[in-house]
Amino acid sequence: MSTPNQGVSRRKAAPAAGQSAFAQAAQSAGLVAEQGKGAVEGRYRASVDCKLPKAQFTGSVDMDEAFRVAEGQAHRWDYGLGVQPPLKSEMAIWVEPHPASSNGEVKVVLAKLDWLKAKLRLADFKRFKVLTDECVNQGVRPYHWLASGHVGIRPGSREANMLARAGMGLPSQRVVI
Amino acid sequence: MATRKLPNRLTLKAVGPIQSADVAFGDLTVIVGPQATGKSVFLQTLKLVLDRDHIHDTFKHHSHVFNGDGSAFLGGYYGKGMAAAWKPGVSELHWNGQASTLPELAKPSKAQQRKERLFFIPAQRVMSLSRGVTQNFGQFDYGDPYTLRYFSDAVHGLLQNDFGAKGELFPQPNRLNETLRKPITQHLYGASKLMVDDKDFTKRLVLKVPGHSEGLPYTAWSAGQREFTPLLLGLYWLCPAGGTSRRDDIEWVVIEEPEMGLHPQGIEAVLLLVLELMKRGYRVVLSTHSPVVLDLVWALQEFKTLGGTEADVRKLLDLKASAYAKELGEAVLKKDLKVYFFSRDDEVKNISNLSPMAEEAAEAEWGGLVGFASRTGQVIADVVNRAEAAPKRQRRAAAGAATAKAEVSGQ
Repeated sequence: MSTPNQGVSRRKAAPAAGQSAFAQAAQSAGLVAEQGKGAVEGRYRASVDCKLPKAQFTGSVDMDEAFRVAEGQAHRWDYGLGVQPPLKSEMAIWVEPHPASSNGEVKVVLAKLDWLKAKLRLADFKRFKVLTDECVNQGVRPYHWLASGHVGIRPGSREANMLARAGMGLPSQRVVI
Repeated sequence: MATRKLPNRLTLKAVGPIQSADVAFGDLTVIVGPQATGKSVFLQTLKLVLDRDHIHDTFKHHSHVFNGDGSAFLGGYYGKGMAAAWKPGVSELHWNGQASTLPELAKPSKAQQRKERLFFIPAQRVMSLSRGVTQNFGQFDYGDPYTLRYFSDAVHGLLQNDFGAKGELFPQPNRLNETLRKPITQHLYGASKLMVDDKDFTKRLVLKVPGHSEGLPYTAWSAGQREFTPLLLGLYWLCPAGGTSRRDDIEWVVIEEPEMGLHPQGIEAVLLLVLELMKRGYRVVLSTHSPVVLDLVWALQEFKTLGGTEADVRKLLDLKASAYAKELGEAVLKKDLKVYFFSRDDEVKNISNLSPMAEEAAEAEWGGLVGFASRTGQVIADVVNRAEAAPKRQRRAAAGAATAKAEVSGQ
């Protein structure tokens, strides 16, 4: 496994008491979680939201930046976010801001999703996987393509079907959990 | 063309199943929506507004006299019982802002301009051929829609007069460009030729199949061939042979459900013909239940917005770089395209952008045409994610193990 830029040490500290499950998962994976949507680039932050009142973002990680040096050539996924819905377990969602102007972009995003899923299969990412599965358990889709601009992929197209088969919906200009 | 400068806007309120429709027509206008939402009533009304006197004259020519009885006329025009579609004091009709009523249009005017301006290819066009024989106006009954009777009569005249002596209807080198003929051959007729056979003293359409001396009778054709052939004849009527590019007086063409009975590749072939009509300067109005039709409109809208070129149009339509194909691509990129959604419980909506990201489901799901495909994708994605997620009990165990491991490594 490649080591994230920030997490040089493979020995991790035990999660601190009071930390969110997402922050603990990040720590286990050798990443540093930022508070709320802090890791998400400013221009995308407002496009990721919770529709439930009192739901909150418990933390976020910039996967792309974390693995930029170690896996410079890879199609790296961008962001992971922890979400705490009211009266339910905390969960993790994954957001990839990416152009959606043509069908050709689908393959790139699917490659990024493959990369992310490979990470989630690693032992160090087990906590993230648990939070991701919790998302599915709550009927929320975990993987989201945030369209950074014009969208040129239509429902029912071969490319839309490819995304569905990989567990993703069509790109959208807002991700609302 | 004079109409280019007019807004060409038809507004209907409380007419038949239509609650409220305000449609500003483009060079190509597509209307979509479930059955019984008033699409056909709307299109027939457009024809009545444009061709009122030609319609009255045609009925009179065929000895149908309504003696000023508006209800009888409306029953004869739209179909029996349709006079009730207009509710006096409630229903409204405006053409380019000018108010009118169906009872008013049910009577002829004294206008000088009585020529036909709109050619209507109806959804029931397959009924214009009975066992391969064309039907004239008088062979239908009172109450059969006028648009079917008139279309059938036009096709009848074409076969009896223009093509009577020629025998071969398709392929016809002097009717449509090779670029348009090729997909028709490929996807609709194969190696067969569409012929007029008059050996039993009746002009009858047959398909000549290579290797068979007898023509394949109409009843043995595929459903798609039976549906497409009257449409082809209608297009022949609109695209005269020789140097004439179009019928002088006709400005508008309505084609109801051009996709009827056809495989998507066949629909592509038909859409090329629609583009040809637009290139020739006709203003085309389609009703459709096919996402393929909206695929084309969406692509052209996107090309126009994003600076697409005629090469993109050719790529979309799988056309080689012939001079004709380039001309066609350039022509359609200059056209104004509109799409409207008719629904049962709401006003007609303009969904011309067809944006998959639109807030309104009517636009994002193209008036319901890709709604099921969209839902399919969403449900499949959910099932995929569920299959990849560990069962809940396993997740709890994994979470416990991860905590224990972190605690050990942190010691």
